[in-house]
Amino acid sequence: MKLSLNEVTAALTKAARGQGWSPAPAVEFGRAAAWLCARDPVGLSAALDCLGADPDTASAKRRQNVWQVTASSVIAAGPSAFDLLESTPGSTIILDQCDVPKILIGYAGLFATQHNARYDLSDGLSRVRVTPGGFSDDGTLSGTKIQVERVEGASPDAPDPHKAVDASNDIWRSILKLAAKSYVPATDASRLSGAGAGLTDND
Amino acid sequence: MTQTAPLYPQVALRPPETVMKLARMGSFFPTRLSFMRSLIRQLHAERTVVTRPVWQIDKDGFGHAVYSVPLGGNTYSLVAFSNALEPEHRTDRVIAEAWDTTYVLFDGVPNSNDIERLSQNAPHQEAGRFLPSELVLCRANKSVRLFEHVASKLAAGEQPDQDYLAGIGYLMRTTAVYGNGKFGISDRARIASRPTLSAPFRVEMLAVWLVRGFTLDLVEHVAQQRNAGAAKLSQRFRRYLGIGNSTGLGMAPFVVNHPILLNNWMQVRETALARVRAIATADPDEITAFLKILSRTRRHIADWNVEDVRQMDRITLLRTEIAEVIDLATPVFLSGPRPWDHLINASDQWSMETQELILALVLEPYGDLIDGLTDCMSADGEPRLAPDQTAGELLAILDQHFSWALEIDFNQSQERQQFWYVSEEKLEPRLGDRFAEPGAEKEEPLDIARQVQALAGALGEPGESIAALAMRRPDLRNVIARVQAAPQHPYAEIQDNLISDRCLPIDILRCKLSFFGASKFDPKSDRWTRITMFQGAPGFDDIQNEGADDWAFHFMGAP
Repeated sequence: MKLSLNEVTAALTKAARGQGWSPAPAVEFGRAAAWLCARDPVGLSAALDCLGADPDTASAKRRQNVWQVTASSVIAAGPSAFDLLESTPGSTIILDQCDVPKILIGYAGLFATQHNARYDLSDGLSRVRVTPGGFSDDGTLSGTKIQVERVEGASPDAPDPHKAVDASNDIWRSILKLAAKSYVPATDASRLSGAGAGLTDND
Repeated sequence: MTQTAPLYPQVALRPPETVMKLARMGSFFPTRLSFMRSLIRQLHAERTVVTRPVWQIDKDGFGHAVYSVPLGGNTYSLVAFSNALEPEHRTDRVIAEAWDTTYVLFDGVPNSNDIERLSQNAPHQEAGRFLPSELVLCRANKSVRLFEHVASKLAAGEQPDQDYLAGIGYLMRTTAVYGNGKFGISDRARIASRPTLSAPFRVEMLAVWLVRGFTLDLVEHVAQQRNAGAAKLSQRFRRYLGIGNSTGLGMAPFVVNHPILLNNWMQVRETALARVRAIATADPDEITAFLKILSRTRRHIADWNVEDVRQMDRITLLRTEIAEVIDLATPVFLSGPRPWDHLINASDQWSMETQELILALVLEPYGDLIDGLTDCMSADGEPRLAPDQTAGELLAILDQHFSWALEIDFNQSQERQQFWYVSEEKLEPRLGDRFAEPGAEKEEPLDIARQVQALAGALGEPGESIAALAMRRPDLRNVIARVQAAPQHPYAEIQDNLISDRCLPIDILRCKLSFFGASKFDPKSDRWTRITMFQGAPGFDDIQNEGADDWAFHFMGAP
């Protein structure tokens, strides 16, 4: 099925909320994953993989110009990694246990857009360059230890793809099931307060 | 909007602590800067001709139709479906599953395959699936008795009863108008760069204007099917009939979750006012235009009757005060120096409804001066966190811009009485009582003031970077970004506690609806309202006529 980016963003945000993430990281995850989904056919399944991790916060240690960022989930590690990169020019970030590197590419894209930046992500074997418009090669990072650096110089302005996301029904259903955990069950009292309530509409 | 030196003389803008209060926002009236007004001006400027390539409506008014309209070099088509609906299924609730009419705004002109696909999906609305070729999805229910009255009268060769028409004001009410990627339709970003579509809610407003035209054609068709010699609606009644709408809580989270957009709307409105107030003298044409709209508004207010006691009391007071405004704003008064500034200053003696009404009216004669500001009403994005700032710098922003939030005592239960949430029922936004209803653990983050206080309490050493703060408190990332945005976006925050027992969502709805251009605000509770859209606006037949923009504060009896 085809999904709009808005649908993907909203559902993934709610799915993260349903899995216990607080609203702010859930929103950022939704946006990062949607950025990826617009450019990578496996983006949605990678996002679903992320949602299996328990909510967490990141921690970081600095040695000279290298930050080592630790978190059990890229949902926690991703924003922190790019915040540190943007606030300490010339630094390098190492995520020592990135659970879903594909989604880290999504965060790189989100932050590249926000900061008009370019980032290089590497697992020691392959390197992915991320710009606001997209990323190089097939975006494959097979290792879990990922190094991230900001690339100096102006970022080429690649257009947004603006295309629908192809999704498997199974994956989408799984995401919606998680999102449903963030909804409040309806009660008779709550039904009475919505628009149109309490009126005969055959007027 | 960026902070640059003004191109036109202007007085100081009204400060956010005056404007961004729910009580004032809940008193707003539509202005010439509204999205409906700017759409009509655009359609008029392009000499738009609406065509109807498909009309397959049976004698009872059921079937489908297509209307096509060029705008900004592209063509957009409303595909309308009219279906029989049992009375017991007719409801304005968002949880409804069937409607009298359903619509899609299509990107281009649909072919027969498109129409067939849409006929299988549009009538199901949220339960259907759509493609990026669809830009807007909406539905409307009849005002059943009025629709039948009008059809019967026309079939008898007569015009409908004027008072009956005036009491309702529309043949149909929309109950949801979806855009921006909902249910598979096009993301807004895909079309926002097209000429004229960058304006907020442009395609949604276009869809509603086309729906209005369809309802007028439909009632005439039904009448004509009953009697080939049926009358057509008079031009006066065609102009008077707008499109109704039932607006619920969903608009409120949108406003709160788009602070930069809200800031831009507000800043445009206040800048327009500041320019007009700076005018040294008004020329005779401008004075005449103002007095004309003032007189018309008095008639409009006289037509405005609602069942809600709170609102009707406000309207009653408004009627008294508008007479005082007329007494003050004589041609002699308006011929003096800085007349609009004096009038705005004098309005402090009146209720907030009257104050905001006067604001809307003084803007009317000055399209050349302010209409261009509507180009500044969109937003490229929403706040983003600046990680290199320090906690000390953030604290300074909190102190300067967020005292309204820091002063609230959340230990008092009434200050956190309510909570916003998403219901599993059609994902409808709802508001609950935290101490009486389940679900607060799934609260939506509209408690901005409380988040600001949490942020203030989390600040560490002044030299700590925001990156470090956000890492140890990721739950505060959103409010950090909002606070950081405040110096450049002073009108971004509603400066009230949105979870207190005193928060009336209806105030947020009215504010947003005023920017849409809606009139005849008719609250049915403190959390939903009926309104009328495009009442008085030109239709398909007269959009090209001179004076197409002169339809604000329309009243029954106006030509």
